[in-house]
Amino acid sequence: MDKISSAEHEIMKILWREQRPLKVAEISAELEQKKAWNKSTTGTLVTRLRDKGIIEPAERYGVARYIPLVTEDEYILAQEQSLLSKFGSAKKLAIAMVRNGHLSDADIDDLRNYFNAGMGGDNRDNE
Amino acid sequence: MTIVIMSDVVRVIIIMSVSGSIIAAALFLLKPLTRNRLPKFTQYYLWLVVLFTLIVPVSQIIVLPSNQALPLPNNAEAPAFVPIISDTVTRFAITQTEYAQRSAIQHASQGVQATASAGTPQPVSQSTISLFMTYFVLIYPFGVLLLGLWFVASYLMYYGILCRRNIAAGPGYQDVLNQMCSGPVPRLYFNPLAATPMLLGIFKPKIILPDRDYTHGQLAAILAHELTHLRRKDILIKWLTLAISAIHWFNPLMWLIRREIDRACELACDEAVIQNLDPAGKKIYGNTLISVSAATKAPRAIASAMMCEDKKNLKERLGAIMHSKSHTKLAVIFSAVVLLLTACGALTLGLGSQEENTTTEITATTPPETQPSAQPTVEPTPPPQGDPIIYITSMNTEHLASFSAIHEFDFLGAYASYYELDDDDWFFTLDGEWGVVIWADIPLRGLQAIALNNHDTDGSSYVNAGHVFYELDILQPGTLFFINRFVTIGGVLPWEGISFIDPSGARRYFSIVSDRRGDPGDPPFFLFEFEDGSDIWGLHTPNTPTHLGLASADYLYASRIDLNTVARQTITTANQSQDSLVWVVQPTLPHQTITLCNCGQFRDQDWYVIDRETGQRTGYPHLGHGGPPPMPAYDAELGLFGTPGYGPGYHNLYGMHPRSEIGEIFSDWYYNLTRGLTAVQLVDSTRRITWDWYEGAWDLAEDARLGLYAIMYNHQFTTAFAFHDIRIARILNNFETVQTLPFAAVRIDDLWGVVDINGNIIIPYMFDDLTFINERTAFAKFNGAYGILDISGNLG
Repeated sequence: MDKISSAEHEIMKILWREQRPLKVAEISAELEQKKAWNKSTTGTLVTRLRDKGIIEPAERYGVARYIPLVTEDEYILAQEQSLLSKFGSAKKLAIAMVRNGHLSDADIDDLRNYFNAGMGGDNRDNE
Repeated sequence: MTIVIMSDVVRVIIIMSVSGSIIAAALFLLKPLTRNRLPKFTQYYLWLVVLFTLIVPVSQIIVLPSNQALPLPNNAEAPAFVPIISDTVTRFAITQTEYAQRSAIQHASQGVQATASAGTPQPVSQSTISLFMTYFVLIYPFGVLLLGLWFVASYLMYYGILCRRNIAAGPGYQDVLNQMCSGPVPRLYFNPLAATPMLLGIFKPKIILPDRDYTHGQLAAILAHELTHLRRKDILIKWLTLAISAIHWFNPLMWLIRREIDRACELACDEAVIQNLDPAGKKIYGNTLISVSAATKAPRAIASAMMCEDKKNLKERLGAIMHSKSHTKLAVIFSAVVLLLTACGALTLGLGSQEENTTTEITATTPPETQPSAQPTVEPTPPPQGDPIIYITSMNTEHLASFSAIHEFDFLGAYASYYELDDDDWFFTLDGEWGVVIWADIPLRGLQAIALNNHDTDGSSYVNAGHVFYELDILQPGTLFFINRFVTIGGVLPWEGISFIDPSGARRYFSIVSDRRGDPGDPPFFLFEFEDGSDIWGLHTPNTPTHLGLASADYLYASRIDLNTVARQTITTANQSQDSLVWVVQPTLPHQTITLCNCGQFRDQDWYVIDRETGQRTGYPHLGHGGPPPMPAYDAELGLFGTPGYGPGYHNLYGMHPRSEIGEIFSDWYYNLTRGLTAVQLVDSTRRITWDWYEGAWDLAEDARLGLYAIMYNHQFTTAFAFHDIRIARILNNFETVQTLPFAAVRIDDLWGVVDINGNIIIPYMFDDLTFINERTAFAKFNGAYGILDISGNLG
């Protein structure tokens, strides 16, 4: 997930709270009061979030109303995940079964072929 | 002054760093040679030797000049840094101030010499080094502090963030773990933040899995891996490695060493896990490793170089799994030699630097009388699966005898765990058919033992770890104390039995125990309680310690059993349809008077109780199957009465008894006999078939007159009446023989051995005792100590 800036997070908070598609005007109205942001600021932020694929206009409405594609939980999880990755040295204190475990699909296929060819048999987990 | 001590310490650390690095470098250089030849655990332990060199100033044991020499007021602090100080007395004819200056130079030069011994001589002017040292000594502690704090702080942060997300695994998953685990069972968690399965926590280790679905095979593979780490205390080694990294923060090689230790640790762990796996199991294990890596997709930002590294590591591990083979004796010997050589290398390195130190301007004189031979042993503790481990018991230390297994143990599956309770209280547990608890120096009261994890004969395993028994005050020093098979009564109530063998070796009995007693004055009363509220009651009389009744409280109630007047059990038959079992052994009574009572399982039998003093026998043989009526018999020569045959299929051939024993049941008959009204059936009581043995065709015969036993096949003797005692090998389940085996422990005079059903000697007569013989093991007493005798190799 792309990072959400703190300003963008304000918009996300509203979307998560309302639980319904919101127009830019509706978001802007609240932020004008709270943060004294003008409409175009809010509009820019909304556009940015849309470009990142974090929110999406629900097209069936005449005026674009936005819905979040990321739940708050997912967002928090991702934040914690990125936070955790900052403690790389601490991670080494845990005994992890595989280090990092970040392998590409191609790598995985490669390893599977290598292993299963060596052991004889097909490519699936034998369960 | 502080600076002086500091510089001493720093010097010691630098020299440790150098000598450690030399050994590490040697290991790195030898890696292409050792990688595929040595068992992985040896490679792992080789690195631990390096760690040892880095933390124990082997090389400094002799060379430190200052401690006795200088009248430092805070002398006492020094040994903290220098664990073993030789008695070398060094004298200085210089002032302390001079010493401070000179020591800086000297330390520096020693640093150089140590480097020089590594083969890289560098002509550096001493003043430069001296200056460098002065500053370095000042900076050094901050480096340790910073790095150490960073490790600890980041760990705590990491731990905090991660563990908040822990989701306790459901009982289904936790059970899988419980079943695989001997000793303390770690908690199992799922965690959406975890990228890979991991073991975390120092004091209460927990296993954390990424939050996804696992097949049973995957779960088993993952847990086996993590439990192996746990058992090997790899977490502690990790922390130790980090601590050493902090101490040697200035040594760039540390980072390489650390990476290498992590690598070796994983390979050794894999090796241990797959050791017991068949090819299919290995395949599942390897594929699980891959699956676990595949589960978390790489964030795009991570550099490809990083991926290569991970891929390489994983590939190496997979390769190791593919090419794993059990290690030949040669490989093991070879690795022992390499370990030893490395250790010696570490030592000589130290001695070498000592020699060079004598060339410095400080003159050291060694008193001739005391050069303590207390050379520190550098060999790391041998891995638990190496040598035969001794499972001998005694309650006080001097009795803690060692018993080498007469026959080789198979430790592939039996991995001994070691728990340290206290300084003096310790015990081993052993996975396997039988467990032995060993302790030393535990007070008789409040002693603790932990039950073992055993495996059932049908391969299903169960956990009975963690039960703590208290107040076994019936135990005498030297009592052999072992946990019996896991037992269920009526299929619902799990409990464990315990057997004891006194130092005399004569008595054994089974018990379930707790610390609850009845009224004061009652004999010790042991009650075992279960979480579901059901009780199993047992009664034990330690003064006549041969007797025990067990019953499930739902159906049976054991009121009091006294050996001398074996009172009849009160049996409440609330639910006889449920199987419940009362089992009583009276080993001090003659063999033939062992009384068996069952209700439920063997519903048609009832109690016999025999008064040993008077021989009075009460109770009724209730033979519910409608078999032939008891046929009274009389051996005129012996004067014994009996019921010699209820026919095959009945296990209650009561044998021959004196008049006094036959009691009421034959009283009419006896009355008639004595009045000459009944024809007497004379029987040969010298051949008494006691029970069906093997496949229905083998029997055991006893000569009641001589007290000797013989083996019979189809009513023909295969041996003479040669054995003074005989214990048939059997597979037990629920204290019930599920299968008798075609061999037995037999005693001739005072020595026990093992013979097969044809009387051929399997294991010669050499043991003082031999008991609980089953298809694989027996308990044997030899040289006054009990041990496990593995007979599986002798049975073909």
